[in-house]
Amino acid sequence: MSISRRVFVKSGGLALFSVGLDPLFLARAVFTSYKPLPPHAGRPVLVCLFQRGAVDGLNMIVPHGDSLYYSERPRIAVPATDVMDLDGYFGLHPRLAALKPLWDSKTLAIVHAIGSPNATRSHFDAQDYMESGTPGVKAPQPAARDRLTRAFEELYAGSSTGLLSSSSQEAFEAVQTLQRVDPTQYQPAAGADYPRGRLGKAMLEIAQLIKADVGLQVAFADVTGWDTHVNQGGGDGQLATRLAELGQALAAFSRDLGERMRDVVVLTMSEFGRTVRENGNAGTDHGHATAMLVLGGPVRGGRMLGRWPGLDPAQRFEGRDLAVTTDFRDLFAELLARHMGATGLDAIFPGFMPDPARFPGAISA
Amino acid sequence: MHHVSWKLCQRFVNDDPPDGCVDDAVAAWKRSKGDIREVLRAIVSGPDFWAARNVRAKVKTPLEFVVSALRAVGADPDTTARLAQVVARLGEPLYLHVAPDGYPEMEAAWVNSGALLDRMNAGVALAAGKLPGVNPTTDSAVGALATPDELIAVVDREILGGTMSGNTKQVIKRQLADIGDPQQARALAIGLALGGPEFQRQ
Repeated sequence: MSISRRVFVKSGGLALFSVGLDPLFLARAVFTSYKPLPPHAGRPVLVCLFQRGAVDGLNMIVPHGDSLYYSERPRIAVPATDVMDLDGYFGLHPRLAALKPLWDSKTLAIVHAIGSPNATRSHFDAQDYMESGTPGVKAPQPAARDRLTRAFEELYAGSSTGLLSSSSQEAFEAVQTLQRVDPTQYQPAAGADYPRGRLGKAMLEIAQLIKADVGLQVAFADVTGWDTHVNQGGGDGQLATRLAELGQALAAFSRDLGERMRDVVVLTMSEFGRTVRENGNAGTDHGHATAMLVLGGPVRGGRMLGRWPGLDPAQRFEGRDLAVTTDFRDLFAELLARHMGATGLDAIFPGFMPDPARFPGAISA
Repeated sequence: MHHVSWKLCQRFVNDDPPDGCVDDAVAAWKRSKGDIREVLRAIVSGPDFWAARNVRAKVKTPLEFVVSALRAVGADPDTTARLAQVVARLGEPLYLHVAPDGYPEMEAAWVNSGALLDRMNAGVALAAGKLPGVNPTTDSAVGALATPDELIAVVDREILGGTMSGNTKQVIKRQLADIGDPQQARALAIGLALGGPEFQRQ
C-alpha cells in the first residue's frame, strides 16, 4: 500500500510533514500566527499521532481502582495485577510498559475523559481529514521520480508567473529537502528500536526530519487498527498488540531524539472512545470520551490531567459512554499556545474560541 | 448590485476585476432589471473579457483542473466516488465547504507548494492511466506518434489549446529524447503538459 506523504512549506521551512491523512486543523495550525520563531535548530515541534478507528481509552489507560470497570468488562478487562499502576487508580496497559519510564521521568502526561463535545459516535468523515495543498511527487522508481521532478521544475521555472512561480519554487525546494533526508540511510541514536511496520517507520522519518533542522513545526502520522468491535482482548490480544507497537514507537522516538525532546511534544489522539460495557462479541462499540497521551520535554508529566467523571451509569454520557470532561480542542490549543507560541488560536477550529482557563495544564503557563 | 457584478467579473474575468467590466455588468443589470443572462452577456461580450491581461489570468480550481484534464485527454471516468476523492485531495472536497460562502475564486486559495505538487502527480497519473476513478482507455485525443515534434504539436493543440510556451516545448522535447517506447513517450508528454504551468490556467 502506498502511503501518502504531504508537506507544507512556509517561509523557507518544511513546516508540516504528514504521513497519512492529516486532519484539517493541522494545516490551519501551521498557518496561524506565531510569536517570532527561533531558528530551525531550536524550533518547537508538535507531533500528532492519530489512532484511527477510535481507541478504547479505558483499556489503554485502565481505571483499575474502579470495580465498575471490572464488572462491566468481564471478558476484556485488564487484570489489576497486570496493569502498570500510575497513581493508585489509573494504570498503563501492560503492553505500554515502554512508556512507564517516561511517566516516571515526568515527561509523559495523560488526559483521560477527553474527546469531542459533539454527540456523534460515527467515525469522522474521511473527507474532514483532507486538506488542500501538500505534495510528494509519487512515482514508482526514485530515478523516474527525480527525473519528473526536475522536468516539472524546468517547466515552472521557464513559463510560470506570479503565484504559480513562487509556489512552485517552494514546492521543489521541499521535494529536495525530503530527498536529502533519506530514511534508508538513517541510524537512530542511542540504540532506539523502532517497531517494524508503518507506525515505526513514520516516527523514524519524523525524528530524522526534526534532527535535520528543516524548519519542521508540525508532524503527523496515523496508525490504524483501533476499531475493536470484536475480540478486543484484555491483557493480551488484538488491542494489546496495537498498544505494544504504539508504546514501542513512542519510546523509541523519545530515546532517538534524546536531548532534542526538550523542543518536542507528541500528542496521541483518536476520534472518540468506546463503550464502557463490553459488547456481545467481546469487543466494544463506538463511545464518547477516550484518553490521550502528551509526551515530551516541555510537558508537565507524571500526572493525570482532566477531570475523571466516573464510570457509574448516572455519570456516563447517555448512560452508556465515558463522558467528555475535557474538550480535545482545549488541549490542542494549549499545546499550540504554550508549546508552539501560537498567537492566533481562533481560526484553528471554526466556531470555537479556546480559553486558557480551560487548558488542561499539560504545559507550564 | 455592484457587489454581485464585481463578484461575477471576478469569477469570469480576473481575480482583480477591471472597473470597466464591472460597470458594464452594473449597466446591464439596471437595463434588464436584474436579468442575469443580460448581465453575463455584458461581461463576456465586453472589451475586457478578451483583453490580453485577462486571458488565462485565472488559475483553475481543483474541480476545474480535474474536469478539464479528463476532457483534454478524452478520459472515461468510472461510476465510483474515487474521482471526487481526487478532487478532494487537491483541496476542494465537493459540497463540503463550510457555509455561508462557497469555495473561493481567487488563485491564492488554490495555489501553494503542496497543491501544485498534487496537480503534477495527478497529471502524471492520469496520463499513465493510473488516476483513481478513471477507466483505462486506449483511444485518446493524443495517439502514439512517431516523432517528438509531432507528439508535442498534438499535445499543444489538443491539451493546451495552442498555448504551449517555447520553454515547455523544449523541456518536453529534451525529456522525450531518450524514450523509445511511443506509449511511454506519449504518457510523459501528456503528463508534463497536464501538470505544467500552462494547464493550471483557465
